[in-house]
Amino acid sequence: MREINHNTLSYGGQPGETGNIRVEANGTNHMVRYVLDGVGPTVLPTGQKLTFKLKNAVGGKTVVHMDLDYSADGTYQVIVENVSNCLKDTGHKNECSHSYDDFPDGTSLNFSFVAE
Amino acid sequence: MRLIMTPRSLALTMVLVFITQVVGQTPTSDEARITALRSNIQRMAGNAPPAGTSDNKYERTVQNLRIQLRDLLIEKRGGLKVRIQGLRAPGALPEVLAYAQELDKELGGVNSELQLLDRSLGAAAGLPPATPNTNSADQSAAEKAQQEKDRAEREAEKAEREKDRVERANDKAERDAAKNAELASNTAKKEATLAAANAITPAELLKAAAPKEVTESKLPAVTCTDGGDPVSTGNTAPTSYDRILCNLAKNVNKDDRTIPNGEGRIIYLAQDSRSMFLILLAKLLKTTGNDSFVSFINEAQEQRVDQQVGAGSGSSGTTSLVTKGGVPYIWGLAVENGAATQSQSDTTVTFRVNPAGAINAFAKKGFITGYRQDDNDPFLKFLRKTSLGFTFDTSRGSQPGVFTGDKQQLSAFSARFEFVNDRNPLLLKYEKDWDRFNATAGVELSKQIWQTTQAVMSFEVEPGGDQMFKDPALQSWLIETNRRIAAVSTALDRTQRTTAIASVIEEQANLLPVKLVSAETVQALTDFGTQFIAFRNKRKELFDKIAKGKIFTLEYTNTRGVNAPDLSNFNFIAATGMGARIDLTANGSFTFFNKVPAATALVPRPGRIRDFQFAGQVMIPFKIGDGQFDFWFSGRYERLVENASTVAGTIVPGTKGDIAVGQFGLNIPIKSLGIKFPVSVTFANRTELIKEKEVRGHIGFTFNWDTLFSKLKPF
Repeated sequence: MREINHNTLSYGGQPGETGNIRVEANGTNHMVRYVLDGVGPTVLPTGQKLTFKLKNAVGGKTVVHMDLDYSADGTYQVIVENVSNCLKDTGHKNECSHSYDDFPDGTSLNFSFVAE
Repeated sequence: MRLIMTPRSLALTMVLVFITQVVGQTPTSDEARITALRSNIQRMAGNAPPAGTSDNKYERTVQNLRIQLRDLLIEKRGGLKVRIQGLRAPGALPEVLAYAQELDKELGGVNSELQLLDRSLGAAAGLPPATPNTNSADQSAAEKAQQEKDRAEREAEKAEREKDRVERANDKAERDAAKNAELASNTAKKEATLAAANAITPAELLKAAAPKEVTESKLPAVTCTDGGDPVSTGNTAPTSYDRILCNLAKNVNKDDRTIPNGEGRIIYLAQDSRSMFLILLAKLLKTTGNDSFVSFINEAQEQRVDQQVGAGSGSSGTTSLVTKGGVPYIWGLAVENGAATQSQSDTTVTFRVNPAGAINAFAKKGFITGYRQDDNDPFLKFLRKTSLGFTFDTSRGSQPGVFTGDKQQLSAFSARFEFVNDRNPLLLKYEKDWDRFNATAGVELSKQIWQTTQAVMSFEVEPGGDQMFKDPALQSWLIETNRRIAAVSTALDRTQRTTAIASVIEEQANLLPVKLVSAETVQALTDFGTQFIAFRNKRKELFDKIAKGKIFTLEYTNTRGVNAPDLSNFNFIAATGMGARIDLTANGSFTFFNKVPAATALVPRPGRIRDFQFAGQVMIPFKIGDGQFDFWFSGRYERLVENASTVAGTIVPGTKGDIAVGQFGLNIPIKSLGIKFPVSVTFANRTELIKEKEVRGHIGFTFNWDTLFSKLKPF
């Protein structure tokens, strides 16, 4: 998986490659839901990853919509795993991390994963 | 010579025999035997008896050698056929097929040699014919048929491979075509939207904005902290709309958004859609007349009401009859004037500190991070339930009226322990409630946000591109907004830049081209707003439940008199909530002399217990604008078991008896800074020293560091 644009939450990968997104809550209860390619919303429980396959056809786009809500003034780390070229991979773990602290109004994210 | 076999030499011999037998059975050995047989047959032919003579021994020997050779070649042929078949299985690579071809050639040679051998053996009368192929003509035909079959199979496999290759090439071409078509389609759609957006001139955009008088806020321009919180300006508390603006500006200004290819800190719909929806909601619906959304956008945040910052009820100078069950997590400061229950009316300064919170603060741990880490440390978890208070009476000491903070001014010291405090939303006991809320109201909200997102935004952009508003007018407005945000000076410090970005967003929000925005967009945002309000209301219900959590605390206070006897007080504090955030607090306490005063000519020596007290308070929070005010009324009954003392230490006879006190008051807040001004009026049937009715006013100032610290360093 590679990062295409950190700001637009865009990633590219092999057709059929597995994508993993994990979410870590700190200072708030974990209240995360997602819509995967229009299917959902589904609750993402604490400690579980969102796992999906990229499209088999080259050029196919998988859209992951994610909502983060807050029970207190805490923060969320949203981490896309197995990304080889992330600009913000501070831990050098081949991961792309995005941080959000938007209490009380919440955060909505739209990720794009393109099969290349 | 006698051969002696030791057990060791016997085992070695057996191993050698075994190896010899195994090696003798290997294909390498067969090849060597074939070579040897060929060589010996040639040697026999080279040394044949003279022509015309008959040598039966010679003939039998030669024939025997030929039969051995034929049998071995038949075995070899079978092995070669099996190997060739295995190598030519589907999916074989060209290199493998080439190797099979080599084996095929070898097989042809073996067949030819067998034919020759069979002819020789057939010519020799009286000798046993070759077992597998009794007739060389039949064998030849069978071999030929087999070869033909193999060739046909090879041809079929080749054709199959060619077919696969063509299919793969066609699939790739189709995929490439689909990809190109999708890219072209996305590019075309994006370009069409952008063209439509660009076709709207700045003048047209401006013309499509609602009148300035309608859109512009009547409140002062927002000022933000670098943490994304709005700051109060003058007497005006910031609104929730200010908070949304500052939060979006903070996100735009994050270091996370600076990337090397030159893209700046701008709004990205991939990350900022919810903030954008809320801002659009406020501005679009403000102009379409749905005031409920406007009031929702301007609603206030919730505040806790369970914390005692000022002096306890027994201190001179306190503004409160009742002591609250909770205290600040880190530290609080209160300056109060008046006396709720005593004759002496002084100005006191009270510091309250939570040792665990202070340790974490000094260790540079964030407000929430520190609190959570305490959970894993039994000692810090215990300390978190404790707090210390120090009250200074500014009328004492060498400089009366001036706060010096020295020992002379220290009028009371208190320590408390919270046995129960259920008012923290992060407590594990509320986890199930939050999970249920997320799975119900949260899922409903997500459903609506996704529907609104699909209705308002387009994902048909090239890989890496940001989403766009489908509405060309909105997209044009966003392009202009981002152009202005990108132009904000990078020379500004972080706080100034956040405020400047918030200011640009606010100015642009006022220029929203409401007259060009489609009805579908307005409807989609309205639906989002409706669901968002429902979500917020459900969450408020949960916060209300937590606000009703129980508190049970024990506080010990040591009051130091200048000349009067020192006193100790144990106060049991219980609190709960009811209705819509109404807070009920009850106190029960008793006071005793640290050292029983001596008897005087007028007053006999008193007993150890000085008094006991019961008090109750009802606190009702309410909102004015974005600020939360707390109105309270309370009552207290005190039984003076012993006569009271003056400041000079003189015991006043005849002061035993009952004191009843009533009070009402109001906490006036300055939001976000943790500052409150408590103002109260107390009326009593008497004071400790004077048996006359009395009415007093009190005013104070309290500062709860938690509020500010949680904003400045949450993690």
